[in-house]
Amino acid sequence: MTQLWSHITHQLRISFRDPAYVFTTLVLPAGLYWFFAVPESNSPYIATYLIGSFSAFSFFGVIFLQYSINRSQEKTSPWARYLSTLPIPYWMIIASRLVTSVILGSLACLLIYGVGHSFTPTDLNFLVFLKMISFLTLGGLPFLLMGLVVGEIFSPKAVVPVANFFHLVLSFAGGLWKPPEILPEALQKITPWLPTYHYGLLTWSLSSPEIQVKSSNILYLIYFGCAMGLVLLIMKRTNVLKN
Amino acid sequence: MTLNPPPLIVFEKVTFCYKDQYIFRDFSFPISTNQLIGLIGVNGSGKSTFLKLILGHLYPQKGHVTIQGKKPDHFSLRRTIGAALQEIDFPNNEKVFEILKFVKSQFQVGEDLDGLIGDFFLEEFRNKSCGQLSGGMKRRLALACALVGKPQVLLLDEPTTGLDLPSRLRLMENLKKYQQKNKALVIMISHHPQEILNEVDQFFHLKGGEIKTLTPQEMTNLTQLKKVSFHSSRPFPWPGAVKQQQEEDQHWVVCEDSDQLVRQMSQNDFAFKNLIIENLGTHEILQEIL
Repeated sequence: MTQLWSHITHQLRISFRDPAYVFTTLVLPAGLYWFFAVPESNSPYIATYLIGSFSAFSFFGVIFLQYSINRSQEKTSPWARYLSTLPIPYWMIIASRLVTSVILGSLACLLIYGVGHSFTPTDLNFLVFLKMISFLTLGGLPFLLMGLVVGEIFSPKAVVPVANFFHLVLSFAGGLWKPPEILPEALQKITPWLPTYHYGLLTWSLSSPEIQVKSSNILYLIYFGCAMGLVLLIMKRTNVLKN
Repeated sequence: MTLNPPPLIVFEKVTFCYKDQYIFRDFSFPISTNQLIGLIGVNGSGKSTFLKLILGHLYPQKGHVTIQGKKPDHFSLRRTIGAALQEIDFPNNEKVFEILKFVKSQFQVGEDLDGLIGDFFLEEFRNKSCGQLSGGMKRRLALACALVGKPQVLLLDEPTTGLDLPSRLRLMENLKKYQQKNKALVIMISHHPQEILNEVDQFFHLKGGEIKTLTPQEMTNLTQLKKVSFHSSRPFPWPGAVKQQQEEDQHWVVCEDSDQLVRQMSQNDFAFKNLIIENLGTHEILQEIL
């Protein structure tokens, strides 16, 4: 437990001491929310819906970018090479990154929640917000695995633009920026098949009991299974999972 | 009756190659514990590969390497092995003391951090961010990290690179002290065998996929060899030469006693010009003599 905790604090220190990272991870999503979503939040329902959408967008970003970029960089980083000589099981590195992502993602969502409560008529109470965070954490697991796949495939130089591309395109096409109903018709046809749409559904279901997530759960399991299969397949080659 | 302990590390019929270039072919070699070994050889002779095979960062195409009877990537061995690799870097925004504390937290036992900070001259940098450290300071931190977990096997790839002379001498002293106190096996790659003569128990010279062992005394003798070069149209066979070469009128003689050679040339009325006597460089010792 001490070992895991020391990893988490190590990762948090590295993250919080990097102003660019803090800005893009914590401040930027809240800024985008304030700029794009606050003016549209005319009713409590829409306001809560948009808090959910932008929270899903930022949580997805933290998890996906953290895993893809870190995994890619650790393939060539001397520090990661050194860490591989220490008695650290690889699952612990993954787990500590998950906890770090959840902490950072929750803080980013908390800022969005704060902005929403200050400038919109949302009726999202804090307990429901915490429930949303737990949904986003569990629902984020396929993105963790997808991040590992992207990080494993792309070089450290290519991974930043590639991961950002996936983050932005999947967020937009999945309806995390604009509700799926107002997306271009051609896009609307693929939206229900995207994991980000179902990620959004998890939060939208909290603003409206009419939104059902049962079908999402099945699709999530499929995404999770596929991503896990890919991760195992790719990483088996590199012996990463041996430990 | 005393039984010799089994070797700690065993290379057994190891074949390893990069694409078409063989580094080791059917190579077998046992390494016992409780000694400080200087691993020497010219660039590309396979020194780093040798360490990476022990660390489990590379796998032989044939044969196997074992440490305490286990494969190098066996997780339990990570508590036994400490390493400072050739390329080093640390997260820029972590402080020196935080790095050491983090590394120590990965082991159940460990060296006293304040002691290590003192041993590696890191006192004034303990609260500095790693991004502010010079290459030499990073090297010292890497060495301190390698010792944190009190490893039984210590693998160091060019640990003295970027260090000034006092730091190099102090490092060697500390390594020897550590090795003797813990009866550890220390293998260090060095390009300057002269600097580690007093501390190492033996040298491993890697050439052509084979290891030749040398005692520090044998290495001392090699470092005292002289290279005598001169121009002459006649050949001058010298029985005391360790190595002798002639290209047109240019002669090179490597010998232990250059004064005696020059005396002999004068006494025999041997005509020569442009006489130069110099110490043999490390590269020449490794490449030409060994």
